Amino acid sequence: MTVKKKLTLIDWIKDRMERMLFNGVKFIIPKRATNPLSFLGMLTFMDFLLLGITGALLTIYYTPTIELNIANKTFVSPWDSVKTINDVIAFGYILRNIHYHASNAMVLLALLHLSYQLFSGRYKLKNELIWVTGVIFGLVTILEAYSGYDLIVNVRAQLAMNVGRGLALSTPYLGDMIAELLFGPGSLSSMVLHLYAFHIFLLPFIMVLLAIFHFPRNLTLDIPMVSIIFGIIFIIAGMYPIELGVKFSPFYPAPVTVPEWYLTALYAFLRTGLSPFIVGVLIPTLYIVIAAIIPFLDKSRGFKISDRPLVIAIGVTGLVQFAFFTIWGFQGTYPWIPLMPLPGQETELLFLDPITTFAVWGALIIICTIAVYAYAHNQKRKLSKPGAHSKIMNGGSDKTKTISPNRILIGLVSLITLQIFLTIITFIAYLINLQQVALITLGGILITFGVIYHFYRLMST
Amino acid sequence: MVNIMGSEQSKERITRRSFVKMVIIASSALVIGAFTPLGLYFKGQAALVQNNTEVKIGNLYDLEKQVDQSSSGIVTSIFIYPPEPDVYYTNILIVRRTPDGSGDLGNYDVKAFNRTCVHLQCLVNFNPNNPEFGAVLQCPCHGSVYRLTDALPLAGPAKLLNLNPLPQVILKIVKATGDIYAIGFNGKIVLGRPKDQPIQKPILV
Repeated sequence: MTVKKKLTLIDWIKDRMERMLFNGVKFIIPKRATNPLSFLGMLTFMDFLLLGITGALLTIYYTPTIELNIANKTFVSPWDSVKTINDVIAFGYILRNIHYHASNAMVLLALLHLSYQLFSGRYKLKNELIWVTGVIFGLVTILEAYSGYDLIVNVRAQLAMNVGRGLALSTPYLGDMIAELLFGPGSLSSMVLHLYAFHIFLLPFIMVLLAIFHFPRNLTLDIPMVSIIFGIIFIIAGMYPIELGVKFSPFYPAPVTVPEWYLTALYAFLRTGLSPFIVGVLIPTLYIVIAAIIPFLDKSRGFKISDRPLVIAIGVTGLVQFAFFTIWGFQGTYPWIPLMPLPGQETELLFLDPITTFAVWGALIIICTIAVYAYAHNQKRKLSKPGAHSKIMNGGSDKTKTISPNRILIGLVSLITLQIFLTIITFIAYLINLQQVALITLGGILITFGVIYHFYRLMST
Repeated sequence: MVNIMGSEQSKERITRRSFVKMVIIASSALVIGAFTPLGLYFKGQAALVQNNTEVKIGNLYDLEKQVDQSSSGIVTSIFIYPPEPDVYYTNILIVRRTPDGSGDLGNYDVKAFNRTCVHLQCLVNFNPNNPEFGAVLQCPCHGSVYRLTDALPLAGPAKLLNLNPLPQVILKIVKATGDIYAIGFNGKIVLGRPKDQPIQKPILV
């Protein structure tokens, strides 16, 4: 007995959607909490969308033009337009802070995503090309973030632009061409306009194209986790709002400034005073190439550390070195000396002794490699003992906790009350222009939504 | 040609199919080749450098008064030359008291240098009290130190890499009024002043 179903509008639309590219992607919406490490890539992409929306809105008031009046010693730069966005335009402060903190979050999430994929061995199983495009994606992400923080044209941005152009120029034979491609003929206005075009269109366009070659067909869209990550970004933005920095002006001296955290490792190496091409271009390229060929260095079939000690050693070494030199980049001559003890004296502390620096660099390679191989050796020995396998197999308990529906209902009521309360505070903050408070409460609202959604999916299964 | 396949088919002449394939590859290469030079679009408009422009950058007699009043005996000021909104066209004028009469103008020494560091193009600042070298020009990015009298690298990456001194701005001083004019460069911005090229005294008129 079959009842002929009435064709609704939704069915009609669904039927037509089957023709679309969109249909080729399978969105997995988890019915219960899953390990967020396994969908860090999707979280990175969601953060990219957040950056796209906030960035697009910022372009309405951002002006990438520069006017210099030598007689009056006046200098109008994009910094002034960012100041207007920050101080004058309604909610400009909120948008700029979200955009800035989401950019840092995207670099961090991409780094965590890369680490998880490396240590869990997911670059295997025919994922080799996805891994390679992912490494390129990471590089483009860093370039996108770099071009973004240059656009404010404060002292830090201007120094970063000059160093970037200097590194491009340091490349033998192709230097001039690369510098002109990325920064134009060299004047400040041409540099800003080039980076502006790269930041708001060319690089995001490349990222969207790369996505086609990087995204797997099964994508986990965990709405609670996305909401919580956004909420955390908003709260951090409210708690640690980003300053405008010292406005760059060719008429005044520039104080010492340190680049963004993802570039301080490179900055530490540049401060050794060795050839900028070697420490600033060749060494980073070497790291990128090694990262890209990791799937081809690993011939093993297993996922345990003892199956692939070389790749794990490369990963651990790379991450430890990155962490170590990122911290050192913020510090003085030695990692334990702060860079700015006394105003005016910091420039003496900028220089890093090349022999010490590279001795530490080499020592980290040796220590990390020995540690990983020792661990792998130990693991292998343990596994070779009789009965070891069963022990490991039974290691993870698979019990699922069940919460009584009544408790969930009480939880939901208190959560929705909290959310209403936060919304009221947010609107009060809007009215009396406390944008920092509004950012924190908006973050709270997003996190509460995430938790409520999580309870909702628990109930509906 | 070595016959990898080990068959006799390799000796066969070019088939119609492979010929068409070659033509389409060549045609694609021509399309790419013809469009590649459009990449020069990124080069943009070259910065306008007016070599023989004269720009007034200060007054010597005013600056001498300031030097006499200052405790360090050194006064610096930042100026733009050539007059274009280019980040590398920022320079520093240094007027120093030389009681022993060794200065360019007897008791005073007047020099100007381009601020673009020859290491990685950050803009150097005047530092009156470097613990090792005293009053110097110093880069805020990677810490290169330059001598105040001739902008020779003293320490930091510029010294380690044996780079050139900073480019000197050639000055003209009108005796009657004391006006100081920038009239050109001794050396090149970014590349510096070749080591064998001596420093020039201001032209007095």
